Amino acid sequence: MSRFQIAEAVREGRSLADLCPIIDLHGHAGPFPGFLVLGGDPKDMIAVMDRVGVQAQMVAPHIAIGPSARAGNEMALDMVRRYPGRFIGYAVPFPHQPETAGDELRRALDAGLTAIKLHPSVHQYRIVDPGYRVAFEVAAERDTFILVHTWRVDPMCTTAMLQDLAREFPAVPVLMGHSGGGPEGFPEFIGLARQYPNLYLDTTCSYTFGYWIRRMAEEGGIDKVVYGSDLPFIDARYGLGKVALSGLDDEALRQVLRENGRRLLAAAGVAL
Amino acid sequence: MRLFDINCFVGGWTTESYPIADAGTLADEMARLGIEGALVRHSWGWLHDPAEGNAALLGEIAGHHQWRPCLAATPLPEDMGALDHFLASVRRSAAGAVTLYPASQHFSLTRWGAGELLDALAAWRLPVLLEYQEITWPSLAEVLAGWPALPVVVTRTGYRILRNLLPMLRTYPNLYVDMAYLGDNLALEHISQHYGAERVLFGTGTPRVDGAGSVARLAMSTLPDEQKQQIGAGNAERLLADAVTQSVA
Repeated sequence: MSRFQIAEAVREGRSLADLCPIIDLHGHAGPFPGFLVLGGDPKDMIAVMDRVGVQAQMVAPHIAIGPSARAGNEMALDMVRRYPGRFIGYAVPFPHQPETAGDELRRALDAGLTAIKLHPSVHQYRIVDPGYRVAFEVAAERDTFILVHTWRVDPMCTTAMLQDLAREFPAVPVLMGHSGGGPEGFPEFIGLARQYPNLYLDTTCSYTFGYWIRRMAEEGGIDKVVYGSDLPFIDARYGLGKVALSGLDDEALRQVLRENGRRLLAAAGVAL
Repeated sequence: MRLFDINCFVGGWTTESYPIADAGTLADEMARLGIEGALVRHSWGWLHDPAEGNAALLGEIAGHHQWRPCLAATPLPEDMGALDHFLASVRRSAAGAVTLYPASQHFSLTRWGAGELLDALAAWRLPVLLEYQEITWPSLAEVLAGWPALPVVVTRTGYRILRNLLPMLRTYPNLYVDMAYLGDNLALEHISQHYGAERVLFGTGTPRVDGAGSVARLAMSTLPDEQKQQIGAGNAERLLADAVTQSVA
């Protein structure tokens, strides 16, 4: 039997629902101001997920990382309630109001969201400052994880800042969204994943290549790479193709596309 | 599904080292992705000199009969020699298309800046490939309106483009778009349904983009098989065949 059935299925355009139901840890929803987002409605997202074979999609609606964390968290909660088991929600804080950021996170997590998403670049807020730092405290309280947008050299989220937080909150898993955003960032972020047990790499990246996915798995650790698509910000099938045809065999791909995310979610109280 | 790649390069790059740089590594990549044929460019035509890039391209892909060259040009005889001379090289090399880099090479896609060249290419219906980063939407509109017989393929668009691309597709029937990282969610299905599947050409963007993305994008689309075939190879082969007929005549 082939060790590359997942790659063959993708090449032939077959859903992975049976071979490897995907758990996608990096997604959004709704409109985005910078460009037209087609299919940002939850029902349209489900259609793409079904076509590809995604069992569960984690979401932080665009508006949550934009002008209203509260409205975005409510949208995520609505998606989770309407499509239980298909959407799993990130709670997003508004860091520029540090005095209320923690309360909003606790409220949203209590109401049904599962983990926390931070976007230092869009919020233009340093990840170590109080409005974001509280997110690490809440994640530690609630035994959950954080997805952080990372992008090459970002003064709002440097690798030194990530290391400080990883050391200070060793029980909080941090998914380094986009793994540094491209070949300029990948080597350093792979090194961080290797060095810190609670730092993880994320396949979501428009500038990635299959050979970088392999390097992440080989050097960062096969249990330290989680799958993300950015749906519907970006069409999910481009990213999936790079992962699935990367040369990793089925056993490794099952780790990346499903098991690593499943383990993180199980620790956060969501069984899939 | 048969695949013909409208967008791939050989040659080295200035700011990045890619593992695919010559005919051998490109052939390996095409085999990995199951791609049968390709329209190939040389990076030197963009980053060094169009004429030297074309010579390097023809040398590099010689013997690879599944590939067609895409020659680079500027509109200036000072760069390319007399226009007739360049057109003869297009004919001799059986080039499937011509590519222009107006932003990097600082020329204008206007009647005064490139009129003679575009007139000649339009008369042959020879497709012109324009990298998205090399054009502005108004300059592209000027070409499409000024030379309606000229098929223009915008390549490696990335995402964030639909608010400009869709009105352009609606307005200009001679505009085509390459799939290499046409990354907007559902753009492939939306364009095919509302503007026609004949407007999209399969491309990988190799080596600057991992072509596995385009392979999966098309294979896992919700398009009917007939449209997948059209986009995968049929549209490009038709455009290139039209041009060959014209050029031989």
